[in-house]
Amino acid sequence: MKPIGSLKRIMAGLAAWMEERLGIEAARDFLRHKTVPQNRHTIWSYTGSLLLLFFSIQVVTGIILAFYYRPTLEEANKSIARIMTEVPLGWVIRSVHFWSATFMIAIVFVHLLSIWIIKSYRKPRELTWMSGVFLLVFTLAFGFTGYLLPWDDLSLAATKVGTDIPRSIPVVGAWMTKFLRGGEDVSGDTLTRFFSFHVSILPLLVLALIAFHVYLIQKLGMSLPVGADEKEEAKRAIPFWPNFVFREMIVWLILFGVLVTIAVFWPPSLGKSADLMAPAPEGIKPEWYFLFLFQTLKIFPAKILFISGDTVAVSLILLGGILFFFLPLLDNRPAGRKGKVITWIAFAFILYAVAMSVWSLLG
Amino acid sequence: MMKKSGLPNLREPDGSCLGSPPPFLAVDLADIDVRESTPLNAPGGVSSRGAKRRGDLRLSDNIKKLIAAALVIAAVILWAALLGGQSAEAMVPALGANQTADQQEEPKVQAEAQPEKIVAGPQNIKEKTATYVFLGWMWISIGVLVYVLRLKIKEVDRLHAIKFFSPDRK
Repeated sequence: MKPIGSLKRIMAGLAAWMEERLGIEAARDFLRHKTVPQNRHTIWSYTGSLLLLFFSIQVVTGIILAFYYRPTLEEANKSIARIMTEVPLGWVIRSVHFWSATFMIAIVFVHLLSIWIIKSYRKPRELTWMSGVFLLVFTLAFGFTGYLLPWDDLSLAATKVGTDIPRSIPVVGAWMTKFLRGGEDVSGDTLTRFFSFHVSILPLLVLALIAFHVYLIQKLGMSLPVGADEKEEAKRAIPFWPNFVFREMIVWLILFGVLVTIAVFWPPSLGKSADLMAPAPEGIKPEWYFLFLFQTLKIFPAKILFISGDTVAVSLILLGGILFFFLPLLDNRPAGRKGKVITWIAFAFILYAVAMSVWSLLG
Repeated sequence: MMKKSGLPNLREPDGSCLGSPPPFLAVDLADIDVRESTPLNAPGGVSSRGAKRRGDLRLSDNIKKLIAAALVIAAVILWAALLGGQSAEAMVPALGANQTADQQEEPKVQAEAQPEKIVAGPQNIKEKTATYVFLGWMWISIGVLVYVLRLKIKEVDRLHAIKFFSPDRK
């Protein structure tokens, strides 16, 4: 009994020492008094924290991959091949990184669309929405920059197509393409530039944005459904810690298991090293999250009156993006209004994106 | 801050409490002693079966919502996986990420088409076995943890239902 008693005393002393310096109890007390509404929209709250989970997995697996990856024309493809064939379980780490990115992008879309449909962006949460749209853009940029890093034929061709799209933007288009490529064409400079964006610039921007986003959620609290009785909602709310966090942990665990299982059974392959002079492979398609945009660009004719079809298509997509970003200002009605038109636009967008993606896959 | 407990005072000769909680516990065990010793009909106690039942109903609702959330997320993942897989196969017509039986039947044709393509997977039988053992262990661990978490949720929901941490109670 005595050794156990001594150990307990040491642990209690250590806990008191830590408490005096870190004030963990105050933080725990604060989290215990922070409440989360429990209503029919609560399930969408889980998507936010899931994004943090997948982002953390991306950071950890990305750091491990960076130990072996070399962002040069000669070494990029070889280093990925080495990760897949020589590094113990390197193929699993790369696969988890690949699938975690896919999950993260899927959940960003679900998170943002759910906010759109339940209209949580309304006053005073305009900035929360706008920072969320930026997070979506940066997440897509992560996917786009990461896609080139294996430096195989497909990634090179996809990057050539992808970086050529901004050229259709009036005035600044040509400059943007040159900036993205680090020159007139995709080259080794593009690879190092994309690597730099992927591992340093984008993570810093995303971390800053996540901090801002979480701060706003903390400050403004979670929104209530349209027309909800605030008193009733307050009665039903549960503490964030530990009641809500325990529930979130169940979802995290299950999705982590699903992620690792998919990563083991469906790991991404690696093509041969890209040849800058080789023609683009036939039937090239981007990753699934760009398919609807890709198909939208394809359905436009080469010329509309005297304007290039690409310019019209890219301008329309940009306009859609701007309207999406400023949605809280366009729909600035009181929180109690239902806004059915906005809901129908959201569903129409989902239907359009799915239909275009399927069309692109089948086409 | 020690509170008076109705339970026998379990202390060691040196004065330390046997049940002193580790610092990371969500619930202060000393407080639980006080609450559990409070009669059910006393102010602040669980006054009726109704409150307990409401707590159970809330738990049931929460579990339903949780299952719904898991289903929605699983559907999204399935959709993403399906699209991702199809997209990857569309992009890699000669060799998809997944080695199907058909592909295994024609290794020579593939090898001629793209000889330098690397398909990811376990390097040898030892790694393959280790991977599957890890997957099994991971899912068993997840199952156990989910079970424990459900019990913890039940407990913390009960404490919340009786306003255990409410400032009015202190």
